[in-house]
Amino acid sequence: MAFRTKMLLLEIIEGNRQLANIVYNLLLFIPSAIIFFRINSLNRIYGHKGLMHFRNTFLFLAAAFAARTIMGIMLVPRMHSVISDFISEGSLVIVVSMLNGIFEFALIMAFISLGYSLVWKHVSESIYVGVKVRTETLLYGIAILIAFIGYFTSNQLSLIAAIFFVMAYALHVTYSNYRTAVKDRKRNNLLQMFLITLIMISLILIMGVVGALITPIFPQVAVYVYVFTVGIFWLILFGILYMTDMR
Amino acid sequence: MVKKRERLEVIHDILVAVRDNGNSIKPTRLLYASNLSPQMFKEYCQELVDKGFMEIVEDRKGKKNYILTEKGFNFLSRYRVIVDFIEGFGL
Repeated sequence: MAFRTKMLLLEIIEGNRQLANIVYNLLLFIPSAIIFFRINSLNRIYGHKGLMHFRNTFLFLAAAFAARTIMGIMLVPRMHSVISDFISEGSLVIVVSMLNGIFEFALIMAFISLGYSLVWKHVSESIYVGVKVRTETLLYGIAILIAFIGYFTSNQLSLIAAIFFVMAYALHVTYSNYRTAVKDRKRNNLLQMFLITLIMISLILIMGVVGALITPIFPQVAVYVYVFTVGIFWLILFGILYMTDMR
Repeated sequence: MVKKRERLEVIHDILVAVRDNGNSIKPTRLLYASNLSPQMFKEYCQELVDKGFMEIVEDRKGKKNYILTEKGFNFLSRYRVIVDFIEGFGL
């Protein structure tokens, strides 16, 4: 019975792929936005730089998934024909293309913000690259460059490589912090939870890449990846809501 | 040897000193309570006033006192949450 239900669910999702895509992006946008507002409420009380960049991670994630949601809605055939009554097909293509660019930029900025929030204390505020630029400005520039490369070459390799690099670095930094905490005998369940969360997000990324490669052969794999990803995001949401609740 | 206090902890200690003194404290008294050098004390207080955590008011004798603002009280009530969050995530 459970197997039949599962197969039926997979059939429904397969048959309504566009709708499933919209719901998926919406289910990632909602927790990202809520987390952003919750962390922002803390940052408004005390403007800590690490907290600010950590908050920005979820701002950019929310922006990325919002762009994908809107893109998905615009590409639904019925919506597409309604929108076409108001704007030309050419303009529609440009808007969808821009939304895709926004998605790529926001996604890479989200991971860069995450990485920077962990290492900002050890990095100087300005870096000399021919001229003196603020580190944050340089990171924005790198994100725009990577998004441009992906956008104009229609090749997501640079985007994926950048995200993996940042995730690997974030994992390394968090694991080092965790080892230091254990060595100093400072029990920190939250740091442990964060490390586990980063490992799970890395797994999602790996599964996403593998899933994209083998989806043509095993379409159900993509569904499992989507469900796992949504599950992780909502777990992170509940974790942060619990931690930041008024005590 | 006394462990060096983190920035957030110093700010917390200053604001607590103001609050525990009936939300009005003279600069000299606050200096002693904060356990900071005069130079660091001046920098921290200026920052706290600039960021709206404290205000300087004059009493009836024209003497300056530090008081907490609503933002300052808010910080104290959420201090533990903020510290746990920052330390927990290693930010």
